[in-house]
Amino acid sequence: MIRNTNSLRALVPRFQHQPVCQFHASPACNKATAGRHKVSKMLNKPLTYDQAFKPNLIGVKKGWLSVHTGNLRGEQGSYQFTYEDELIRKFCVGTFYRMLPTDIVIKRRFNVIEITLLCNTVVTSKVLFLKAYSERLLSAFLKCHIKMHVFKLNNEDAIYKYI
Amino acid sequence: RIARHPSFLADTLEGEWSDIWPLPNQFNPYLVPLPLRMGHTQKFCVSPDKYTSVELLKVQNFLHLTPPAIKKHCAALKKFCTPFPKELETQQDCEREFPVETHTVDYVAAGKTPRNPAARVVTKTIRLSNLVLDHHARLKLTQLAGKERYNRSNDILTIKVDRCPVKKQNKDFADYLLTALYFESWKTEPWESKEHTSHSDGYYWWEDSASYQNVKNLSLSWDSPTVEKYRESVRELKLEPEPEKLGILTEERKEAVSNYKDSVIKLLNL
Repeated sequence: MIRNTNSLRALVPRFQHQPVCQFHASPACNKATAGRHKVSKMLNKPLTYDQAFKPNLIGVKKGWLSVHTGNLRGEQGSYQFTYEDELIRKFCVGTFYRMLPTDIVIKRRFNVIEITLLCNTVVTSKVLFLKAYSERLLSAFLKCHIKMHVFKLNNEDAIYKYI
Repeated sequence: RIARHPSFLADTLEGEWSDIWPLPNQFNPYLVPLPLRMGHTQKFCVSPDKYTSVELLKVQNFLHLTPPAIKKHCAALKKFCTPFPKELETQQDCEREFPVETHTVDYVAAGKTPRNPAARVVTKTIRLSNLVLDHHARLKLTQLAGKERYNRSNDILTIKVDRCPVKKQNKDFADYLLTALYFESWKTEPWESKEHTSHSDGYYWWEDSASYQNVKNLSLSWDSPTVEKYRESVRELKLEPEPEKLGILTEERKEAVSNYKDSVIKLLNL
């Protein structure tokens, strides 16, 4: 039974309310948090070299994780490269599940995409299969040549410092 | 860490480096026999060595372009090279032998396709003094090409083509345009004959000009020397090449202007 029969609003489900653009009077919070890591209580949070430096130090103390010509002046297609990079990263993280201690490096040379992975298991036939599999699938998705380089790197070797 | 692959390192150290790394390639810590470290060192931290460094994988390396490798490349290419012809010592010699200059741009970029729409533009330039042209043909060619294609100060005709989708088509079209312009300029159509430009100077169509209309209104005899002089001075004034800097009167320009003034005064009997 509906208690308040007078109120029509009670009968209308929540999701049917019309969305209204409202005025925000609160000050903008320009806090940058992306790529910045909090210090842990016990100072035992491991960071890789990439994570240890904030994004404002890209090009100063660390390099770019994807290298291509799309962002140069007068060049086209940077949005597409960014989109493809994200696809490649997600694909690799899912395919090499729990095997990647660091980020992936993606380089583009002409129409070849070179992907470099650091893998924490011994490079066995299983890893080689995953490599060939992802090369084949990604080249079918992205319609260009994919080269994948896989090197061995232990989880503890990837640690640069603890915070 | 170097003890990881001692036998492998021995192989790399013995062999020729350009055989191991012949082409641009991603950095491989197991192939490069150098104790590299890359990265900034924070307090109580050690910069990662080559086996653990992602920084070394990020940067572009030029390990295939070592000085011995470049020397080998040059030695291999040398048999295909011929000496530069002695006849073409100066710029003038080059221009005499190859009067048409073609300018195209090739673009290299990362991406799925090597094609760039901007690469189709073809610009061809030629100095008109290299063509066989008579007085009339030269005038007609410059008139047909227009002011934006013919530069009067250095006598260069520029044809820029970007209407076809492929560079080769544009090149062919530019060639066609040049040829057509040349042969068209040699033709003399009936409307270019003497009746239409009665005192043809070759350059300036006297009868179409406003000065001609003004003289007509004066009801003077056409054969009088004053009209002839007026026509000459107008022609001179119109044919005066454009000054390099605006607002500066050259000597020739001054003379032309004073001639014009004198002729007008005589014409009007002032």
